[in-house]
Amino acid sequence: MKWNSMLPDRSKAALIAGMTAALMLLAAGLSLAVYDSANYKTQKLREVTVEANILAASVGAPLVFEDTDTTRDYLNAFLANPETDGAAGYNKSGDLVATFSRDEARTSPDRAPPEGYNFDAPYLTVVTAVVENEHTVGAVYIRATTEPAIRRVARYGGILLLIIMASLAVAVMVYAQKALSLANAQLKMRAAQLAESNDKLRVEISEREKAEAALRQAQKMEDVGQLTGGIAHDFNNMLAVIVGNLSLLLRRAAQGHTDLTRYAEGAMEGTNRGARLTQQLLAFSRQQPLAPVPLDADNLIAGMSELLRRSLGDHIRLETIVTGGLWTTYADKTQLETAVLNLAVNARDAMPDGGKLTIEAANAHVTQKMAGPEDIPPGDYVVIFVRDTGTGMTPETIAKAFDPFFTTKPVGQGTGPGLSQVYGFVKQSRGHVKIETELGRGTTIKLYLSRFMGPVRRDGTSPAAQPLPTGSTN
Amino acid sequence: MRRTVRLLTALIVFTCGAASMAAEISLEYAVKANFLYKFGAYITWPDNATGAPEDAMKLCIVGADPFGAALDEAAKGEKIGTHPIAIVRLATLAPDSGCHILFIQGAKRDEIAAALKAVAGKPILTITETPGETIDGNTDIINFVLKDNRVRFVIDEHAAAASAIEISSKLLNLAVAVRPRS
Repeated sequence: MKWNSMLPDRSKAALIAGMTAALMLLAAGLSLAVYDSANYKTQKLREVTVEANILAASVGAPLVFEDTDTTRDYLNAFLANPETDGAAGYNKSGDLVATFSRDEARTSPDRAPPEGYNFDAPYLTVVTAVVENEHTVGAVYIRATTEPAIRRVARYGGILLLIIMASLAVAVMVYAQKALSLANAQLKMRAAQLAESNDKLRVEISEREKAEAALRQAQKMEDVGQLTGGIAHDFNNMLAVIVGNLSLLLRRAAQGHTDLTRYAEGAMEGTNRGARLTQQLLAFSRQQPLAPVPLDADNLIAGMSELLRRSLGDHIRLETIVTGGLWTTYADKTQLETAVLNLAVNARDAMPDGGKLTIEAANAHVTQKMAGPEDIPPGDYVVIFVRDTGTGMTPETIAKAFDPFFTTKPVGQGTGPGLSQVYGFVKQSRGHVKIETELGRGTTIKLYLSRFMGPVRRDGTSPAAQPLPTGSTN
Repeated sequence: MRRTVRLLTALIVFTCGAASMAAEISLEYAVKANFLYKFGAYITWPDNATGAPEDAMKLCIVGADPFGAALDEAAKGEKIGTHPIAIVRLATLAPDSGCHILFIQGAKRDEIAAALKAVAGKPILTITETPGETIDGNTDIINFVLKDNRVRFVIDEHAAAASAIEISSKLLNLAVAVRPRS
């Protein structure tokens, strides 16, 4: 692409105008120089001719009478003109009467030259006849120096310089204009490119958003799948128990056995487990009606000790710490028990090689300052700590820990909703859960339950208890 | 020295036409002969003195003639304005001789005085070569002198005015001395 094809018409016009102006200036300067040169000669000739005429008019009588002294006096008068280099007077016969020369080396002719003028650079000679009373009585000769052409040219050097400067200025202006136009054009091009890439980016962003939405949907579907799979698996297990017991019961009945209670109880046990699972599911989905009561967490923990010990097995050491003066809290007793149990089971699973599980209840006063990162509003809480010395959790695991049926265990080893039950219950009770974990050192789950400020009856129930909202999404 | 050479050269050139005839006369007189008629161009006579344009003007030599043919040669074909020049040689001057230019040659003062007296008050350019401004109360108008070995002249404007002739300032410029009008 040639630069001039990129220029807008206006700068092309400016360029042409500038060049035309420069050429015109140059032409004007040259013609001025030529004119002046020609004019100079004419001017000089006129000047010297006038001098010769003046001399001729005054030197007549001295020439007539051959008065050399007087003639020379007249001639000398012309010395006043510094450009007069020499002069001479001749008598009627053409003989020299008087002469002078500024320089001895340059003499006037001995005989009168023919009338007229002669340019013999750097001298101009003019010979004029001397006429007295209409009679030619002699001639005068004047030799004048002319300014050498080189000096005149030098004089025009100034004008030439001016022209060059003007041309240069015009050129610079034109060039600047050109550069500016070029820069503008490039800028415009860049802007267009930028807009284009911006559009592309926008399209990419929207595509990415779509992809992300699709991914989210896929993840959701995966979660749903996992949930469904988990439920199906658990129910399947329970159904297997029920079907197995019923089959045995039928077979024994057919064989005439009467000790069938065992099998009926087994089937009942499976059915009950199924019912509990349903309860858990409802709790997670917050659809389960809670029956909160004012309760003392230390009593609850103490009451669960035996159950926990059995659930954990021999290789886990259980330690329950109960602080005196613990505040009353307000929650669904069964759900809280389930939550603690779930946490204990998880802790057990995190310590396959054995360890220590600590369950502790304590009062906590959350101030504004402490609230920040934990996202726990300030206030009074009863905190239940479930601390293990297990494997700890990775950040990825923490992020998904409360997802329903999320499990780190192989399929078949899961125990249902697990942590998600804990989460659902605590949230429904307007409490908070916090996980503190360190890989290889253990995990502490903290359940923050609001302090109950109402009156408490001896039996641990509160007839005036405010029913908690059931299953609102928030 | 150089001047003299130049003067001599000029004189030789002046007289070359009449060289053969004037071989015997001096360069001084050759120059004077030239001057005589050349004065005419710078003199204005009263209108009634010159007659018609074609009428000749008389250049009179009274007394001995020192020029000889040189004068005739020099003035040959020359004119004073429109007037041709007639050279008249007179033994004695008469008041009605009708001269315009009068050269009075003479060694004797009384002869000169007589001649001047004869033409006193007449419009005649009187020329002598006798030193002195007045001769017995009679004054010539142009008086040849030698200065630096060259022929020059003195002009008496007073006498010219008395004779009712006017002398051009150009000629006055060339005079070595001028006696003013008053």
